[in-house]
Amino acid sequence: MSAQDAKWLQDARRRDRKVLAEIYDELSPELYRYAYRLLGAADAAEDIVSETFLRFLRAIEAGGGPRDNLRAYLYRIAHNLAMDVHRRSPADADAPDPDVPVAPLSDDPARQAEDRISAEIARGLIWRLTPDQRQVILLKFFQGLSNDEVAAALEKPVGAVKALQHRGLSAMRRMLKRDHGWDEMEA
Amino acid sequence: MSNKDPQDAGPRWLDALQEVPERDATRAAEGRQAYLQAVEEIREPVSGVDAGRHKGWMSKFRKERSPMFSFARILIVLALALGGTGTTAAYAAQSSLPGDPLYGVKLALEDFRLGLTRDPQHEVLLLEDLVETRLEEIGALVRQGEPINLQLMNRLETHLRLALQQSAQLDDPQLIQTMEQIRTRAEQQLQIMQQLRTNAPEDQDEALRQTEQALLRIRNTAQDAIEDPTTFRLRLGTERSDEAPDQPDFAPPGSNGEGSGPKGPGEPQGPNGSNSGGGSGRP
Repeated sequence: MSAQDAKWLQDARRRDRKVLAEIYDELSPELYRYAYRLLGAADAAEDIVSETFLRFLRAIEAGGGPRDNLRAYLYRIAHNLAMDVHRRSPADADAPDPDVPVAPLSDDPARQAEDRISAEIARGLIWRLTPDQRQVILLKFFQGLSNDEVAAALEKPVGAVKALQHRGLSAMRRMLKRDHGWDEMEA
Repeated sequence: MSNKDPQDAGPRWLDALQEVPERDATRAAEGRQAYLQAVEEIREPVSGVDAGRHKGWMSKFRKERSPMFSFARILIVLALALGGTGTTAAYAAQSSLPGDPLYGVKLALEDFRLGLTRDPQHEVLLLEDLVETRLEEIGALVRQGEPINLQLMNRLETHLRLALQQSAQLDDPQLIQTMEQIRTRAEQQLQIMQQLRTNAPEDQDEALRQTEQALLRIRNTAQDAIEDPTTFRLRLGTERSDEAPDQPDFAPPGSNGEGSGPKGPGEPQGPNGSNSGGGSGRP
């Protein structure tokens, strides 16, 4: 647990309103990005951010909440909520968001092959991973968490996180090849 | 961020997910405002055991009843029904093990005690006592070199499942307090089971491994409940007390909210034994 997390949690448990606001300002943007990457829908991502922080407040108020790593705790809650949303409306969640600008294709043929793997395809692959693999891939490659931090979020050893990452990427490559005829070696 | 792996960069074919459109400023501001409003409404921390909400005189007759009170009452009932033989048999049954002639009496007494309990928090603690009893029986059987039968394992699992279900009816402070007790006990029980397993004969290993897994599950579920009581209730709570907090208003866009709620305890969970919502997927 970082010193910052420890201080935040200590003050949050004392209901320090300034610190509670600071926690929101500091962590809500990255939670939004995390939820957006999972769901591809801005409104749903905002809802998840709101609900995550409200649950945090409710737990703190009742004397519960995270034992140590606040950031990892918030990611866990957000991930659980996103899974609920996805389960209830997977078709909507995977649909292209009209607000997302379409990236122009590169002149490089190899790059073009990779560009064809749109956000929707990538998101579809992510959702076909196991929950733990999904969290590892997203937290590590998109949220910029280190192996130690991902391990804290999943409450697993670092070795298990590395194995999940390896298996998750392998599974995605297999799905790309089988379902989209895409081969990394050829690209 | 610490301990960055040189291979932290993902494959390029995942780049499509890197882009996240700029957050709607109005919506983000509304979310922040709602959060700050909730922060303003948060209750100050309470201190002392009597600082909780007033529950009226009824609680004195419900919550303060100890397991021994119930047991004493059972003995009185048995004594009245059977005379001295009944009380003697009831006491003797307490130390019986599966396979003993009096073991059925022991289980019947336990069910009777459970039947008398009306207060959910008291019932959870009683169920935890019964879990302890089952684990002591397992320990005794292992030491005697006797097999651990399926009925015993099923009963242990049932106690654990019921304890979680009953907990879901408690209000947040009660739930968290109870779950902290459950977590602590499960950790202690796990240590005992692990020691037991080290010295156990090979044919008992599978049953002990299952026991450990059951304890791990309850420890992790208790931790999840402490962290996020709402999700815990959504998964396990089929009946809620009047004092339990309102369900969240949160609803995903486009959902009808039917037939797709979180998984219950008996439903299949995610791979690796991780549940999909509770999410922690602990080892």
